[in-house]
Amino acid sequence: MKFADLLKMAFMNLWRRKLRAVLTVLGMVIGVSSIVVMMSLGVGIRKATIESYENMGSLTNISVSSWRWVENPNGGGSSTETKLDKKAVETMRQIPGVVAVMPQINAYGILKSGKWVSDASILAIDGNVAEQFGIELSEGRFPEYKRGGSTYEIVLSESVLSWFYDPNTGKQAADRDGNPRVTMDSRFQLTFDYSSIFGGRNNDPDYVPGKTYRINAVGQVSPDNNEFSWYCLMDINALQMLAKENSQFMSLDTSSYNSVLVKCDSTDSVATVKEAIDAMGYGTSSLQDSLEQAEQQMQQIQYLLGAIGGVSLLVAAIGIMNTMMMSIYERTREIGIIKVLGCRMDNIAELFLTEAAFIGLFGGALGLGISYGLAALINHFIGSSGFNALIPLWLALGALIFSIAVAIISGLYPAIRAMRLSPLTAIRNE
Amino acid sequence: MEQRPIISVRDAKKIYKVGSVDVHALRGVDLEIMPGEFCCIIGRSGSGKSTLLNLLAGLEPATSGQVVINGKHLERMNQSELILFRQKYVGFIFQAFNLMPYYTALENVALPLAFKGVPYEKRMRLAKKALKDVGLESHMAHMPGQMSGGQQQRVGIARALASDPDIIFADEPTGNLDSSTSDEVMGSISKTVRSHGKTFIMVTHDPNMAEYADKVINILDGRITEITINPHPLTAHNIHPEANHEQN
Repeated sequence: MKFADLLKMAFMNLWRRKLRAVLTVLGMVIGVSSIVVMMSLGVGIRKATIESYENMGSLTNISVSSWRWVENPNGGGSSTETKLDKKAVETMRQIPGVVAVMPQINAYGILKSGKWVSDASILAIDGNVAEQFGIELSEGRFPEYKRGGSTYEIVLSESVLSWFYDPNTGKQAADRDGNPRVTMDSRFQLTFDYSSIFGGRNNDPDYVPGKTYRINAVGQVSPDNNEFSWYCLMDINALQMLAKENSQFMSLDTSSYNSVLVKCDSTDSVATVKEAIDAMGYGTSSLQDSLEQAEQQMQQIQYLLGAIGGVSLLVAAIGIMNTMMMSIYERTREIGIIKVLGCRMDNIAELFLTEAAFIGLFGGALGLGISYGLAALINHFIGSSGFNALIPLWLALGALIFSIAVAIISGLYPAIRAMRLSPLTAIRNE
Repeated sequence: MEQRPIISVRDAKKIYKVGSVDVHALRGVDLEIMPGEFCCIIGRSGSGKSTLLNLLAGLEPATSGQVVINGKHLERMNQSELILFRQKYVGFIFQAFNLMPYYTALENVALPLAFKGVPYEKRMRLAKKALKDVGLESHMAHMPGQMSGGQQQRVGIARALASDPDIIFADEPTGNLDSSTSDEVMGSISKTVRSHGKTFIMVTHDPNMAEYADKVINILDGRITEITINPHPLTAHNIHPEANHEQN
């Protein structure tokens, strides 16, 4: 029997019992659309989660700290420290897959502008590669260090600017309308000696007040960049210089770094680079770790949603099987006749499988169309940035193939039954 | 010239198990049929005549004995081989016509050809010719429901002939028809089968139908009791107009 004839005959058989075929297809439509909508929600939520992680910082960054947590076999653990120095940074730069390395130092200082002061968390960075690590400025440029100069450059954070106050009265540096009196254009000074501002050591005979440095604000950190928007930025060499001069006020080891940021060329190389740095004895962490965890959770949610949809698909599959079985009982004689007339056994099985596949195809295609409609409705009415439905191509094609496969599997048993029916039923005269 | 029989049955037995009781439908049948013979197996109901036909057409296997058709041993074939055998060599006419109700007369006749894998154009041409042979060229597009019993059975005849088989089996082909239609149909069968030179084997319990046959095989209680040769069988041309048979 020719394949085209088989298709035509199978379609005719469904067409003869339109109502039942339509009802069976409807069951499949509901099954497919529920599973596709559920999975599209999973896909949408997952995508939103990954995007929110990407907003938190680059997924290709690894942050390295000198402390490494080593677990004991008995469940406890201990931290070991390995010095993060220039040599270590050079070694990291050589690891394949690393595109940039940026050592960091954290320090706290006090910014002065006239009578106003503000506490500043200073992050010392390398302005040449800062951009690669996702540090964004809303204005200006990255700080530089001019050796021997008397003025240092700083990039201010929005919070530092808004927190200027008078240390004597505690009043905020804002006018009556709430506008800050200290702006980017103000003149700034920086000191690391808290006593020079707040007093407390005036009776100490050994007390020598710390130096106050002239500071040039060259830019402002973007407030949208969560990871870095907190910090004021300075050049790392500049801060190391300052730390040496203020060693009695800052307990900062200028021969090492607090942490190092490592940028990888792709998300795929993050794991191997991390391993290499781990092997050097440092502690590492990357957003990808938490993303992986989140993705695992997402996957579980997706499975759960898929399973809920799967139940209705299962019901639909049972419906197909029921329809095909009914069809066999009704067509017992007809099957006998076509067997007598020379229809091959495999053709009979194929005929039934094709009928089932048609139900799967129509149900799948219609269900997919309805899914697109439902997804659009969901996104229009209850969708938000973290909750939306998305039907990627793989889901659409997968749903179609899956529904046909489910239908064929449901039709398998009825097809075998039909194939084995005796041709003698054609001869019997009721 | 010595002709080899197209059908040769040796000591065929068929035992049905009904519960724990063995029912002997055929108790050892020997039969030879020559190519082109027009035969009638006649017997009462329960005589085993239908079982014999089923055996010959390969619809069910013999319990023991040989059934050789065209030199092929049916008792050695499995179901798939039997279907292929039927596709190639056998046409079948049913008592209840057994036309597909949702296909036109033409599509019904073309159906066995479709199973054979004959391309659409060719099978439509063959089916048209077969319908013409039984005088139904004006009813090609009719559905079975739109035709009389006699017309439906003539579609059945065309269907049996369309695939050009060597042997045509008929199971009470006039059982569902009134007597005048029966004669009309038997005349049609006789004419077309003989003109195509096919071997024809019919089962009936109606002695009037047996008058159309060259060879009448009487069967009773699972055994062939008598084989008679009819030197002047009825044909479409010599049916007595006054012949009027009892309707069953």
